[in-house]
Formats: sequence, C-alpha cells, structure tokens
Amino acid sequence: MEVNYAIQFAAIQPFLAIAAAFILPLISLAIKRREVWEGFALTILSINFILSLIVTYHMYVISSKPLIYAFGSWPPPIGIVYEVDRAGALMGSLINGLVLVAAIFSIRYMEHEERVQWYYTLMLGFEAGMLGCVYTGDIFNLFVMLEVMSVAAYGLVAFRRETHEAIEAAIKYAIVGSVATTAYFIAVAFAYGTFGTLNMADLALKLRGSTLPVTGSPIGDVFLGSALFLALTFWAFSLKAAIAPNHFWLPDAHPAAPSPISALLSGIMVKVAIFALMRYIFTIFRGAPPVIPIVQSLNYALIILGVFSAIIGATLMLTQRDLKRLIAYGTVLNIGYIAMGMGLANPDGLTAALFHLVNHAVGKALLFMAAGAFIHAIGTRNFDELAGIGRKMPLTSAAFLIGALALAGAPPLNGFMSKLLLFKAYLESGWLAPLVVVIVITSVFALMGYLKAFYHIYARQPVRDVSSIKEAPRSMVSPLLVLAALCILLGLIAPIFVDRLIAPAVSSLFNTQDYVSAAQSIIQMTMGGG
Amino acid sequence: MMPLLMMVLEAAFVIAVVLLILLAIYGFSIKVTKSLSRESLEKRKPFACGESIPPSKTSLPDMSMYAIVWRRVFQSLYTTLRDKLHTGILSDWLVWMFIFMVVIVIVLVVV
Repeated sequence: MEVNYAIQFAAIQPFLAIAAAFILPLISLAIKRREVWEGFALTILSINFILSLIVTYHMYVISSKPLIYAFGSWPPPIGIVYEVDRAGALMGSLINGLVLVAAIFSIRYMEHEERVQWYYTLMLGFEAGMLGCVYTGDIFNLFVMLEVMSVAAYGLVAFRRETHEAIEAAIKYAIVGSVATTAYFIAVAFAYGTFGTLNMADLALKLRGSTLPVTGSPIGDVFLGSALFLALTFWAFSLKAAIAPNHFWLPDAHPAAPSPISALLSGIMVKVAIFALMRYIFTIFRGAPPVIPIVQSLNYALIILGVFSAIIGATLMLTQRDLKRLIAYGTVLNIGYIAMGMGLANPDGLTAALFHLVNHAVGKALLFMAAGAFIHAIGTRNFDELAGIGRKMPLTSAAFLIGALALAGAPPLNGFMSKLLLFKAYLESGWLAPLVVVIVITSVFALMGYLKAFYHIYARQPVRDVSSIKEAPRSMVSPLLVLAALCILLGLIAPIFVDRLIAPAVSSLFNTQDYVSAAQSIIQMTMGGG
Repeated sequence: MMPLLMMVLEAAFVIAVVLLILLAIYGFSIKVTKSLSRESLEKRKPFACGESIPPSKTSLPDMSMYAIVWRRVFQSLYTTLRDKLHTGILSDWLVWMFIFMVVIVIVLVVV
C-alpha cells in the first residue's frame, strides 16, 4: 500500500514530540547542561514545524483531498487513523508555530528556574497531544490525545510548585479538566453503543444510511445516541475551550502557569477544543437527516453561549488588577466570538470563526509573552507595581500595544478583520442581526480593558525603583516582534489570507463527502492490495 | 468578501497614516513640553498631610477610570453576580458545570 509522504509527515509529528518527551529526561540524566536540553527540545519543535508547513503546502497546493494514515496498516474502521484535511493542516501549522515561538521565548524567561528539563518534557508532550487532537480521525483516539494534552497542561500549570497559587490552580484545573474528559469518554461510549464504530468517517456514513465495511448498521437509537453524544461532547469541549458558563477555571489556571505556557494555553489549547467541536458539528453531524434538529439546537446553544461568553469576558476584563488575569478574561471574550461565528453554521460564519481563531491565537500568544517579559523584569503581575515599567522596555511595550489593539479590533490589525467578517456574517443572518451590538459593545469593553493595562504599564509614574530595568533580552523580544509583525501582516493581507487559506479550510470542514471518500479509498487500496 | 475587505483595508490604511502623523505630533509635543518643565523627584512624593505613605496607596481603583455610570448602575448587580458565580471554590464550579450539563442534555435530547 503506497502512502503519501505528506500524511507520513503529519503522522510522525505527534510521535516525534511524544518520543522526544520520553527521551529528554534520559538525556538530562546523562548530560547536566540546560543548553543541551533546550537545544534538543528546540530541534524537535523546529522539525515538527517544518513538517507541518510541508503538510500544509501539500494540502493547499498539491492536493485538496484529505489524507489518511492508517496506523499499523490497519484500515478504517478497524484501525486507528489520522485524517488530515486543509483545516487540520492549518491547525497543525498554527500549533507547531506557536509552540516553537513559546519555546524560544522560554530560554531566557526560564533561565532562573530549576528543573527546566521537565518543563520542555511537558511542553513536548503538550504539543504531541494537541497535534493528535487535530489530526486524528478516530473519536476514541481523540480522547486519548485530549488526555495527553490535558495531563501535560496540568503539569505545566503546576510547574512553579513552590508557589501555592500554582498548586491550587493546577489541582482545580486538573479536577475540572478530568470531569470534562470523563464526560467525553462517556460520550464516546454512547457513540460506540449506538453506531458500533469509533471511526469519524464511518460515523458520518452511518448517520447518512451508509457504512464502511465490517462494522455494519447502527445498533442503537440513532437520534438518542447522537443527542447524548453531542450533548456530552459539547459540554466537555466547551469546558476545554472555556465557553461560558464553563469558563471558571481559565482565569485561575492560565495566569498561574509560566507566561509562555499561558500563551499556549490561551493561544492554542482552547482552540484545539474549538476545532474538535468544528469537526464534529460541521464534518460529521451537519446535514445528516436523523440529527438535523439536534445540530440546529446545538448551533443555537453556541450562539447563546457565545454571546454569554463575550459579555462575561468583556465585563470581567475591566475589573482585573492582575495583568495576566485581564488577558485571560480576554480569551473568554474571544472564544465567545468564535462560538458565535460557529453558531451561524454557514460558510460566512465559520470563515469569520476560523479566521478569528487564528488571529486570536497569534494576538493572545503575543500578549501573554509580552506580559511575561514585564513580569520577568519586575517580578509582579499587579498593575500598581507594574506602573511605568513599559517606558523602560519600549520594544516589549510596542509589541504589547499591537497585540492589545489587534485583539480589541483596531484597524488595520488582524483582529479587526476577523471581527469585521463576523459582523458582516451576523448582519446578513436575518433575525440574528441585532447580535452585532454584542460584538460592538464587547469590543469597546475589550479596548477599555487593554488600554487600562497599557496605561498602567506605560503611562503611569513608577511606584517602584525601575531605574535598573532594561529591555527584555533579544531571544525574548524577537518572538514578540515576530508575533506583532504577524498581527499587522495578517490584517494587511487579510483578503488574500482569507481567500487562499481560511476559505479552503472552511470548505474542507463542510465537505463530508471528501472526508468519507478518503476513508473509502484507503479501504479499497488495502483490499485491492494496491 | 474580498471587495469588502479591500475597502476596509484602504480605509484602514488612510486611518493608520493619519494616526501615525498624529502620533508623531504628540511625540514631538511631549518632547517639547518635557524640555520646558523638568520634573523634580520631590514632585512625585504624595502629599498626605505630612503622613508618609507609599505611592501605590495613593492610586485610584481601576473602576474610577471609567465609570461613574458603571459603578452606580451596574456595580451592585455585577458584584452580586461575581460573588455568587465566581467564588473560586471548586465545589461551586462543579455545581454550575453540572447544572449546565443537565441543561445541554435536556436541550439536545428532549427539545
């Protein structure tokens, strides 16, 4: 059986990251130099980033059809498969890019920390889990990779275990997160009990009255099984994505982690959960006759909870006195926008949602890392004590301002462009059009919140002696400048970016036919020996 | 979608150019005024009837930045909601989470 090089490159990424996560502690036993550990982690992360770019190039330029990798050459629906389409490839590149940037930032940020080998070990495991979640074509494998991602995330939040705040946040996060993954596990049991399959393409076929070989017809009540599966899955992923009212854990957990990890948690981990929801709602369940009313209800739930998240995130942002908590509440707000876009369940809404997902990932990573640079310099997250530090760190301040304006939706930055698409999608949505008011008002609140942060950091007179504070080291400033440039660039080239990358990814998410055809073709190849 | 984004980009470019010009004027004015009045260290010390207090204690609460309307109209509602919902206590979170789970299951299965 001939396997495409691009799908091999996709399949090897999570394996490479998790293998490296196991190898790094062994290296640290033999070699006691942190430069070696950092070099090893950065090498693996760079390789993964390059591989993901090749996969994305292949998916966008060479072939638009989803690619399947069958583990152990066991074809679907028997074996576990990775199925990568354009949306999955785009997410893979985003994950690898941000983790690499965070790792580069971490070199100096973590210079005074002990046990950094474990930090990079967890970071590699975290990346493996996230990549597995976006590449997998198997609902149980998604549970496994979700656990890999989550366990690494709990460890990273608790990394500074000498502080009670980190321990408390990590324990709360772990308990709440475990409840979510357990709910998803129960959802998987309902799906398996109803459909007799764990393969996503097979599930999509069975919902449409067809099937892949071996597993046969559904064996349970399709409506009830699907409703329970979707309800529990939506609940579990809404918690992982911090969609209100399941957002409680985020403002505690994200600020407690080291700043590069906060950037990854807020920037990309919550998006992995959003992406899993997109995959289920739009690729697997949407348009299947027995579940149309369920999917419709789910879309309304997404809109209502999206609005709720946006309002809660925006209002709570304003009252924070802790820089990282303010940025964390901004995540709740922006996840609300993404949920609102998804809830429209049309190409315009999903384009806006996916574009905002990318923009928020870049902008939020930038804000958390810039906040990290300030905290690294002065050792506090409190606005009063951060007062005036920005003037001593002009490049970091400029990057922070660009990120803040981008996420607040100031033109011509990237956040403005995706909010504009969301605005347009709602204006054209008929009776839901009045919800544009929510987008406008919460954007104003976000601007006030971010300007408050910038005012404290930059414009206020220092209350501490800041004369010895200097600009952040080059290896910390460079990632900030790269992300800030991306915020500007993604705004300026938005028409091209949306047209060439986002719209095709949205098409692939809606294209159930191609998704199941890829699975059918690999079965034919296997059975035909070809 | 493309024409709309292009139109916005053109407008945004003009706004950005105008903003840059304004920023340059602002920066220049700051430079000029700073050179006119040098601030002494004594000026930064808070005047508090002879009491010695740290500058951080003299700062206004964040809410004051925006908001008489906010405080008067919404703060009591907001504080009540925050105290009830955002307690930070794990068992409270779990209660809200399970209520939400039950609602979602009812909405999708029954409705």
